[in-house]
Order: sequence, then C-alpha cells, then structure tokens
Amino acid sequence: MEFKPGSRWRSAVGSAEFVVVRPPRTAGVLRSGGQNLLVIDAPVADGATLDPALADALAIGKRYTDSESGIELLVSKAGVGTLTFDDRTLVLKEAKQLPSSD
Amino acid sequence: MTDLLIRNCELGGRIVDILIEGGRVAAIGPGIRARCETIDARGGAVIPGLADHHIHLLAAAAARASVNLDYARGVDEMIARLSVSGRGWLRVTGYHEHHHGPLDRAELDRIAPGRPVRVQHQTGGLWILNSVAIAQLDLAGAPAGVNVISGHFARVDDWVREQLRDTVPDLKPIAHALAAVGVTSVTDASVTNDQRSMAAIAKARADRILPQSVTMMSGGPLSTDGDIAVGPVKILLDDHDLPPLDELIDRFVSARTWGRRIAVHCVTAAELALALAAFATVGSISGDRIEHGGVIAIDAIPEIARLGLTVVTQSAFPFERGDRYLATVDRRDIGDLYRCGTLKRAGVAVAGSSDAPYGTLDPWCAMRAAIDRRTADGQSIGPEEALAPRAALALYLGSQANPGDAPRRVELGAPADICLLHEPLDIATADLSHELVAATIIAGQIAHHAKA
Repeated sequence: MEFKPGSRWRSAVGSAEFVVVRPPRTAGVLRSGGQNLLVIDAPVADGATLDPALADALAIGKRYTDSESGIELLVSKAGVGTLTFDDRTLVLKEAKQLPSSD
Repeated sequence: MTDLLIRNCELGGRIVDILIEGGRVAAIGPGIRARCETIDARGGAVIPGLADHHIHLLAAAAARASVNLDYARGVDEMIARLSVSGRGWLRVTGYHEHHHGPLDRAELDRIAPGRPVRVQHQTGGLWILNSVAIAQLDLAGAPAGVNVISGHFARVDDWVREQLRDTVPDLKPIAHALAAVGVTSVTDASVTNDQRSMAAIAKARADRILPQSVTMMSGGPLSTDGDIAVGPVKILLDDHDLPPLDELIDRFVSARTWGRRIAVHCVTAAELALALAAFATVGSISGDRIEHGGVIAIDAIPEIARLGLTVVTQSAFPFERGDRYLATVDRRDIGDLYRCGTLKRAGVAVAGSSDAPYGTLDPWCAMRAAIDRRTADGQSIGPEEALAPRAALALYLGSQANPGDAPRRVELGAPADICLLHEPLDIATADLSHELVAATIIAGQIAHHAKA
C-alpha cells in the first residue's frame, strides 16, 4: 500500500472514501472496519465484512491521524468503519478555526 | 511612428540599442539612430518586464488607505497603531494572533471603542469588527461565517463590501508602486472578482491609470471587459471547512465547461491533498495551478509533476513570516514550507508572485528571499529550496497566460514590456534590489523612470 498525498482510497466494508493528506513515515497496513482499504477504483471485494467492534461513524470532512506513523487521512465520503494503521486506532484531528498557516 | 529608443543597453551580453515602435521591439542592434524620445541606459541590462502572477489589486489599493499592522510586534504596538485620531471607518490590515494576541469584538471595543473599526486577518480570510461597526450592518440574511458575538466575519468579503457600500479604491498609487519595481503585468487572483471588479479594473486601464496588463481570475463565470484577460477559475479551499471531494470535482468540471484553467489555493497539506485528488480525477491541463503551495510534503512532488501543475509561490513569505513559521509549525514540516528548489529539480514549473497586500509588493525582496532562504531574523528556513539568482529572477519572467512557461525574452517583434536596470546583468544578479530598476516600459510607454 503506497499512500501518496492526494491518493484516493475506499472502504472495503461500506461507503466511506478517503484522501491521503500525509503519508506514513513507515510502511504499514491501513484498515477501516477491520478490512484493508482499497484503491478508489478497485472492484468490490466479496465477503469482506465490517468488524462490529470497529464500527465508528466517519463523517465527511473529518481528518484522522496516527501520531506514530504520521499518516493523516481526510474522509471524502461518509461511512462506517474505525480507521486503524497497523492495528492502532487513528484519532480525530481537530482543525484550527482561524485561517490556517499561510 | 517611432516611439522610444533605448541606447547603450546590455542584452544577451552585448551592448545594443533597442528601438520601440507601436508598442513592440522594432529593431535591436548597435548604432540605431532615430528622432524620438531616447533613454541612455549607460550599459544597464534590459530584461523582460516582471510579471506578478498572484496579486489582489483592489485589496492592495484599499490597504494603502488603511492602518497596517505588519511588523507591529505585540499587543501594545497594535493598540498604539489603532489609536489614530479621526472619524468614520477605520480599516486595519495585517492582524495575526501570533503577534497581536487573540482579538474579538469585546477586545476591539476595549481598544478602539469610539468609531467603527474593522480589522483584517493577515491571511485576508477574516474580518473582526467592533460593536460600533456591527451596529451599522443589516444582519438580516447575514451569511454563515458571520459571528456577531465574537465579531468574527470569516470569508464573507462580498457581503461586507456590499454592506459597507465600498467604493472602488484609487488604483493609481498601486500602479505607480508596481511600475517602480519593474512590474509590467499582473494576475489578479481574487476569488471574489466579478463583472463589477472587472469593470473597475478595465476602466482604470482605459483611463490610463493602470499601465500594467491584467489577467483576472474569478470564482464564478467571468466575461472580459476592455483588454483584460480572463484567467483561471480560482478555487479557495479552507483547511477548517473543506468541501466534500465530489463538490470540489463538480467545481472543477464547471471551470472546464467555461473553457477555463483551474487555480487552487493550497496553503496546507490537506488543501493540497484534496486539490491533487480532484485534479487526478478530473484531469489537468497545461496552465492549471497550485496557488501558494504553502505546505508540500516531499511525497506530493511527483504527483504535482505528473499532473503538470504550475506552483505559483510567494518566496517572500519564508522571509516575512518565517520566524512565526519556525515558532509555530511542527519542526518535521518546516522543510515542506514554500518549496522552490526541490520542485524545480523534480521538473515542476514554479512562478513567483507577491500576494499583495498580504505579502510585500516588491518582487526583488522575494527574489532575494528565494536565494537566501532566511527569515527576517536571519534564521535558515528550508535551505535546499534556495534558487540561483537567475532562477529567482526567472520566477517573474513567465507569461501571464502560462506562468510556468520558459522566460519571455526581449527580442524583435516582442511586446515592449521591458525593465531597464542601472547595472549589467552580472552585477545586478549579485545584489538583487528594486533600486536596480532604472525604467519600466509597458507596451512601449514609459511607466516609470528613476531619477539618474
């Protein structure tokens, strides 16, 4: 999995889609709802099911990060399925309210 | 009709005379004689007139009639500058919380209670109003982004302008200032541009108040007026309020149906990521642009190169704002700020601009900053982004139609948009400064001529 900035990914277990904001500094496995993310135009995988323990809602426009690897994702289409990187749960990032660094 | 003769100027390493007729270069060579207005260049270099690829003309003109907080360090200095006597609206620019502390309606009431005051954030994305100012507004139908309690008015310039019945500011001082630093053409990158601002700028051109040729971006559809060129569709992204990707893609598609290129404001990593995703989905064309490129992760560079996007940077920002960046930006991200050198080495076209009034109007300051990569306090910031002097100069020599083009040249038949320097190019590039500008010629007319 090569997570280039601007690359598009989608959940294997639901409607959620993502854009990579920052790539991870180390290789790893990115999952939503317990299943590997798919590149945006990959065919739907049969039989992939959502892990009910990893069923957090993902709202559009929200960003998730993993401080250890540095990966940051933007939710570009809403869905369900907790994001994990090498089984670490990504945390919601609060955006600044003022105009951002310029 | 013979217009102008420049004698004894350096061009391509030779001393020549240049004859300008009908707004174009009509002859180049030694020993040209003509009965017309003549400038003796005394060996100074001629270079193409500089192009500022991203400016906000009306805001820059208005800023000249405002109190400016640039380089006001600390709350006390801000308060001192706001304590100017006078009546009527006080317009203030250049506020930033890092330097001046938090500011809202209540704080502004405490500092400046007597008259209507509006304070613009340094980025241009936010106005802060005091109570006297807010009392003058008709708040029925106020757009999202207006917060009357905090007095924060975010990204509602159109609405504020309408409410205050802002008149078109005088463009003459800004036109003079641009000519004095050698700028012969500009692209106005304001997302708020519409037929009204198009008409105002076209009128200033027709009235010969504004000698620089103008390309105008706009957020929506735009028709030309006079000789103004319609530029790319400007798409503003806000890090804290990013649109759904589908919506952004729709806006890209609209721009294409209008037959226009696309320029996306990208100052953060998330803004850039979303823009790249949309470009990759819709497809890019030559002349599409990333404006600012404030934060570009190293891994994003190959994708920018693959898409053929031009990055229109403000190389003066790491100088003007670099000390704040060093104090507030994550250390690991400092190398991503306002890249130049790594982009060019990866084959990405980079063009220069001022973003005035939000950055210095002076392209020579921006060139020095691109060479030195040091903050105002002298700290190194992204040294691998440094450019050689001629590459820094070339940031301003692309065309307005496509800023990433190879540098324009002063050659036979070319438009006579020329910057004449006091020194030969080798001496000039060793110490780039606006003081080098001896004369600025636009379409064959002298727009600026320094006293010898």
